[in-house]
Amino acid sequence: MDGQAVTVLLAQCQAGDKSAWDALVDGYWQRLYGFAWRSTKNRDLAHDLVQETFLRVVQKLERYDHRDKFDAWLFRILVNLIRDQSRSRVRRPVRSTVVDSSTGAEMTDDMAARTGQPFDPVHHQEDVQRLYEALEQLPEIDRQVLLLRHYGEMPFKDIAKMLHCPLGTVLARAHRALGKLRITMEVGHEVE
Amino acid sequence: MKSNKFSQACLLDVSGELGAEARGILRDHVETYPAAMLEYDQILLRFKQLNALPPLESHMDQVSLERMKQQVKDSIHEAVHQQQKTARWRMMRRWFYRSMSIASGVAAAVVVMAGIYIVRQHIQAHQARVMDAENTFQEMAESHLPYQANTPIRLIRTRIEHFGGGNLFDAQSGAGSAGIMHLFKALDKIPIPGTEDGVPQADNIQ
Repeated sequence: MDGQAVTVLLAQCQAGDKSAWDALVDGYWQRLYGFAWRSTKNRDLAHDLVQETFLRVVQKLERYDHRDKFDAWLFRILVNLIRDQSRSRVRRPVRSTVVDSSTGAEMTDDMAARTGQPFDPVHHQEDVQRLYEALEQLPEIDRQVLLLRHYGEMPFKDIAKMLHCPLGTVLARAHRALGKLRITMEVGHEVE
Repeated sequence: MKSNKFSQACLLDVSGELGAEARGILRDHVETYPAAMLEYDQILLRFKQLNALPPLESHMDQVSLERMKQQVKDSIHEAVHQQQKTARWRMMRRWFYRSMSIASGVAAAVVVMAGIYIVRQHIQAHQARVMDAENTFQEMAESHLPYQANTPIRLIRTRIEHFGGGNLFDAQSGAGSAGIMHLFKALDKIPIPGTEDGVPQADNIQ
């Protein structure tokens, strides 16, 4: 969604056009949800956080500065919500669970990942699982950069704006995180 | 090219964010130095590895994704509806206060105008009374001042007759009576409009 289209869409949203809000959700939901899901490792929680993000947008759209990039603003809200959530989870631990769509049984995300359903068969299941584990081992800020880049589909420049840090810092974090991922993956292969 | 700048440029290039000019410079550098080529390939490999993370659709069926998305849309519709309701209520309240203030202003203006009208009426009535009194005094003054310059001669004569009471003409004696007789004679010579030939009858005086 280019900047001009987003501006038009936001103007329609501000006028209370519900179909414009639907279009906004269609345009951003998947990216937000993907990022939230991998950040929280909990689908329900990710869903709630994404929903809360959109509700915050509804509340704060009047105050949105159109000079900022909308994607960055949107993801900043979500990142802040995830951060708040993780702080409260430290105080009150919540088990990360999902519901198996076929059986209706509750299971952890890690279990869900291992069941392989309905994963893309092109990806090697164990590699993917190892990649997730490697991501978990990264420092939070490094992981955030990679998840924003991959699931949020945000350019590094926007991530830098969103995190209020120089582009060089974001690139250095990404470079370092990718290096660590690579090492973890190689170690995993050697063990096998 | 510094090592960290080079790796950052490589990262931007593999993610498709490097500008055309910078990309050309990077390509030249990579093709010139084999070590740079090696590092570029490593970064490319790592970045591709990140892209190996399966997309969301591979973890969840489309129906679940759509259902979740719809839930978000529904909650947004509800929030927008509430927001519009609140905005309408706020606008109505603003209009109510505005109309109330206008009505208050009009009422205050009416009260002020009525006050001014009453005061003006009072002043006018007072002025009328004063003028009436002045006129009354003037008339009274005029009725008691027979020798005013513009008093008609007949009126003067009448007043003198009243003043004399007729006894003066009988006495025919004394300096005052002689003077008055002279005055009558002089007055008789003055023509009075409204009498025959403008000459009054001597008998009338007697």
